[in-house]
Amino acid sequence: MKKNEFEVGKVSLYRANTPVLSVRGLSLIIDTPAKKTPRTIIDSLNLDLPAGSITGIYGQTGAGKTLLGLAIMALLPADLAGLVKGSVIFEGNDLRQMAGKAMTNLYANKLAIMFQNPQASLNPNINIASQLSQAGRMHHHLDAKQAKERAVNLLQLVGFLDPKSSVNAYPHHLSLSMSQRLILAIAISCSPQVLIADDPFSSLDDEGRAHCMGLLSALAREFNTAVLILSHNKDLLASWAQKSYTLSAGKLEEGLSS
Amino acid sequence: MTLAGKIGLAMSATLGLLMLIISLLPGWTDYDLVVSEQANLPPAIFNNFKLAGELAGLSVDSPYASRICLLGTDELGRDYLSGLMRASLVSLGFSLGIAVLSILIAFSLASLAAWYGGWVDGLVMRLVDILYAVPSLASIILVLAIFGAGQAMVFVCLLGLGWYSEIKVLGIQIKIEISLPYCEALRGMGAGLFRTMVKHVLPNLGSVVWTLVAMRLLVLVLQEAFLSFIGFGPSPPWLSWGILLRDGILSLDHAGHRLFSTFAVMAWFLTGISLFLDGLAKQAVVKR
Repeated sequence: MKKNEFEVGKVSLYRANTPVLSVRGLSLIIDTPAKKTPRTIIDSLNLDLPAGSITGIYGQTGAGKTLLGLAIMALLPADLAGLVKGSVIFEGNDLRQMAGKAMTNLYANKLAIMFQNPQASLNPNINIASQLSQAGRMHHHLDAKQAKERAVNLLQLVGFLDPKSSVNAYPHHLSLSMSQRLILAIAISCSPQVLIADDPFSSLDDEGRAHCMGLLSALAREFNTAVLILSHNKDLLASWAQKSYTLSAGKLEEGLSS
Repeated sequence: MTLAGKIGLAMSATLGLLMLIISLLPGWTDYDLVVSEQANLPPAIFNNFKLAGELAGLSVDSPYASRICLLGTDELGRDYLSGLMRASLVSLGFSLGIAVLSILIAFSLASLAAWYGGWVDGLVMRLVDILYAVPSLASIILVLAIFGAGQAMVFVCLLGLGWYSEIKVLGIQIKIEISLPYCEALRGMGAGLFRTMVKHVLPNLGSVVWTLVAMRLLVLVLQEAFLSFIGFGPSPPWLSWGILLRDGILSLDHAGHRLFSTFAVMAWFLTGISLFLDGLAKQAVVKR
């Protein structure tokens, strides 16, 4: 992969394996009115995401992987966000204390997230070129022509066979696996420093998954991006993650135990 | 667009063009000219399309004597078709303008309520509840009676009567829309209130918004006609459908064609515009 395919004019400040994002004492306890006992989703959790490597978190369905991802990114809906304790340090700031422009400027630009349902994560009414270049236009003020060129390059990168005509398509024209690739392209469009992928590539076949995971590790290598993969697929984590944890009962344990 | 939508567009466009030509182009705009000798002429079809002056016994070189009045003239000798078209321009302009403006205001407030939730949501919705409880038409008549009628006041009053009525529907629609995963993903990309609402939610709710505009338009035409009918409409030289309806009823015994031509033009326009807006709404339905 050529470096300038990702580049928007940003050089990583991090050296490989220094932590980019640190989670300290993160807790999320949800009140469940029906059961009357509060449910612990995340229990004073510590985690470092090192630059340039892929970290994996394995968890069974319902273990709280998605909520953990959203809590780290400070993207939980307001009613849940109020229940989070602890801190998430990125570039010396606690994400949970940040607000407004300072915070929104980080999203997609430095902190990117891939949601687990690829088709629902796309606006059905907007063509692929616009969705793909949105982050770049928002954060880097690309003009329409640059944005379209980048969109074509990114689509080619994630394995679209005919990127020039695909940029004009709409999400309902895409198959599930193509939308998954598109979501990846959107996430890496600003070459972020941290990328959280929630159950990625589950709808791709083995070959497609290997291709996309290859892209993620290339992204991690080239740009020293810290990638966090939340998945219930042990094989995927075993073969691609440099370090893996298991999330159970709100705690992280090293390794892929069940 | 649907066939019905295209027919609606054609209906509104043909009469709309005629309306603009007759009511705006100089030479046609002779409604203000009072020629008392030409008063109460019948429609041209009943007298072999003779010139107005000829019918009134005027010399043909006097201005306005050399024209054919297709729908006859009114009590003051003014061309009725010109008046009808001018009234259409005023009534439709008012109603469309207020309808679009009302929905824009409603969409903005509903967006704020849905985006921030909590006390902002509560404040907006309770305000709407209070406004719903006010007997609106009665209070408008009161306001117009105190401050005097006139086109600007009518505009303000009709806007005041309608801006809040769609906030609740839009608020719920927007709440549903922003809870969808794509809006969550937008938040994860750093998109703020304005970008999310204007670039994503508004186009996706296009079918709802066009339908609401169409519904408001019809209500506003009726309200404006009602106000004009009871004498609180725009004042001369402005005209409106309500004023013509009142005059048409008063002259029903000797010039029934005035009332019926006004009815026909209203029905033609409103059917056309409703069909067109319905076509726009159907076109805006999002494929998911």
